[in-house]
Amino acid sequence: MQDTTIQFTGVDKRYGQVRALDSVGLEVGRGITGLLGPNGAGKTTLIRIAATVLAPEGGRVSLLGLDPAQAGGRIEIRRRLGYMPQEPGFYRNFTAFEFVDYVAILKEMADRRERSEEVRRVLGVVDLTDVAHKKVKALSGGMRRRLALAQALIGRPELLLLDEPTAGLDPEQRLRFRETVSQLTNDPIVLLSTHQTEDVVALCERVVVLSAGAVRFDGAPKALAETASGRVWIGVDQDSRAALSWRMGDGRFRHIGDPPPGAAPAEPTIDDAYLLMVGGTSDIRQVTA
Amino acid sequence: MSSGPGYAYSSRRVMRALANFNGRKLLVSWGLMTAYGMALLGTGIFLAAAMTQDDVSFGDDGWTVAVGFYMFAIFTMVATNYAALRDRREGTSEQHESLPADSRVRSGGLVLATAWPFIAATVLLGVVTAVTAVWLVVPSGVQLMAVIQTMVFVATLGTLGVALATWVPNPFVAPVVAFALFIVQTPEAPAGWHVVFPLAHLGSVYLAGWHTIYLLGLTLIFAGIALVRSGARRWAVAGLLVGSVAVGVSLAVMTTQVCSGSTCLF
Amino acid sequence: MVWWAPAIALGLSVILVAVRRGEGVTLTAQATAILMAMSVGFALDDPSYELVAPSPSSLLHRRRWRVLVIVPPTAVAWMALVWWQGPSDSEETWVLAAMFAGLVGLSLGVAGAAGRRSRGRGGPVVAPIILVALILSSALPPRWRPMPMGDVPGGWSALYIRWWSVAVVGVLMLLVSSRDPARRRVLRAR
Repeated sequence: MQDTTIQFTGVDKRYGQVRALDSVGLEVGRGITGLLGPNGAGKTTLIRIAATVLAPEGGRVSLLGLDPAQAGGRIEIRRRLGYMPQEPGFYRNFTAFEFVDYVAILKEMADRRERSEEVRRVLGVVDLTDVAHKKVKALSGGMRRRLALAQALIGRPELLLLDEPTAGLDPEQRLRFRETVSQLTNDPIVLLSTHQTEDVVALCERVVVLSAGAVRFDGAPKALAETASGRVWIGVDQDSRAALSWRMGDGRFRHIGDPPPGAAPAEPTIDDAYLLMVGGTSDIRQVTA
Repeated sequence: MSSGPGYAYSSRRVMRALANFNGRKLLVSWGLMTAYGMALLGTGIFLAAAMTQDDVSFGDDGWTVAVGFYMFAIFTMVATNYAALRDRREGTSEQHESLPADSRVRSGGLVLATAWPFIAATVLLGVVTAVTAVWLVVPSGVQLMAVIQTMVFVATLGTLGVALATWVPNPFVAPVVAFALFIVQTPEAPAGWHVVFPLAHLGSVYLAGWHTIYLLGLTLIFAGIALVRSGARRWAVAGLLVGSVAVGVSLAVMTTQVCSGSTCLF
Repeated sequence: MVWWAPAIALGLSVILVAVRRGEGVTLTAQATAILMAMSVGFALDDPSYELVAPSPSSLLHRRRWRVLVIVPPTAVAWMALVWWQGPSDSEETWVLAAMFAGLVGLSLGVAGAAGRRSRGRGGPVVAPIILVALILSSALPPRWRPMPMGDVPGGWSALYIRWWSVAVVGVLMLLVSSRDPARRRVLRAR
């Protein structure tokens, strides 16, 4: 039976003195898993290791039952993988169609007619059909993001790695992205690294919170929110006893931390739980309007 | 297993597909556009001269067909070098590492893509030769060999462009080499050195034939150099070996013929 | 700052002069001038072009500093190479200097125009364009060559005029391409 998971066991990665990943253990199966964490948490490093563009320094990695450390395993993984990097590069003088066509060749689609059909399909999935023959340099930032997603979708990959896919997208484009990812027909393993908790809430059955190279939480989004239960309250004035507080749209202040006696508790959200969890890594304690 | 259509799982088929893709892009690149312009310029000047003078030759001094297509070859090198530097220039190297076609296949595709400018030069030069042979002057055997050498020279410099990008990935290098090829003149060099240069005006069909083999050998050497870094060791070694034999033997034959007395190469 | 291109050009020029020292000063000086002028085109390449575009420091100002840092040392290096090479007619030396100025001016002008179109990455096209310009110039009859590499009718003064004209054209191209990209003439309301 074919292995449909990716497994990290005790994975380490350093960049000089900086420990990007610290003995990370994780198993991800079919469905959409969100990877949340602050800047420098190790999300991109984890994604890059899964994309076989980076090797860990310690631990074991198994992708779809294959070992990326072996050359044969690596090639086979890459045949079944789609990767959208955080900062995708493009051939700016190619048209959108040509760029995706080129990537399709690198994905070993040698037959021209079938390749063209596949390119048209993925461009249709991301709604870029109308601009297929426009040069990449003439496309907007949002369109280029969709183009990066299109090239990752070629060949209906079993493992889809998306690093900050909605960065720079407007709300409508983010909605469209969520629709696209949630409607993928071959039910791949999707690992989605993001800062946007709304994407996690909308898309992910499971969320992993990384901070300082280690896994802080691994479970359902609802369970993540519940970790902040009883530790969120709202007040008319800003409370200096809170670990973090901010002004809401109605002029009141939302606080997270250890509530003082008599504080009115609020329903916790993923944002609250995330901030509480990784708040120790941030210098910001009081966020004022 | 992914069920996508059209999967080759054959690196040769992928390489051919890459070569065709890159080759088509090369033919309409600004480098090749400049190359066509140079070839047309040389041809135009030649035809204008042929209308007013008798006994014009492809090998005449000054602007002529040979010079025009010599420039075609030089700008082909600039174009293939620019294409081979694309990943580095646009920052796509890492994301393409996550794809199954590895660096051997990508490099092989680039090297094979140089066949397209070669074919374009062959067609253009063939048309020019045929037109002038019918209309103006019948080229001699030596001149025909000069035409064939020029076509091969396009392939030679095309592969050199890819080799330079592989080993010295810097956009300034190819134009510098182009400039060197443009200005190289050694009238005062010993006779043996003349055969080393790309478009030597050799006086017999026999020598011109060996010089063509010399250029083919250089093409294989440059292709091998381009491939060796990508890990395509078998093909690289084969190209280097066969190319070295071709270059060695042809140089030996040519220098033996052209050298007289004690002064040959030094 | 992109120093590697001038460094490569200087290295090759030193080798060229060392090999051909004492033989044919003109040809070597021309070759080194072309090499070093082609490399100057990379001086205007700026990876942070988009980032600093809205800064108070104008495009012209930023480019001016880049030119001032790269061009004078390049010019000094080239003159040192010419001097090292050996004696030459003083008139010829001045013409060679005019040629160098023309090539550098053209290089900067092309880099400026190309950089404006490609968001600060105009360097790679400068050398091929200079080469094409030289080739096209050499295809014209001597009387009409804008970038003469040999004798032309009119002697030294013709050579000066043509090369300084090339320099002026190049500098004008640089100035025009360095205007503020957001600059726009507001038409008077009807």
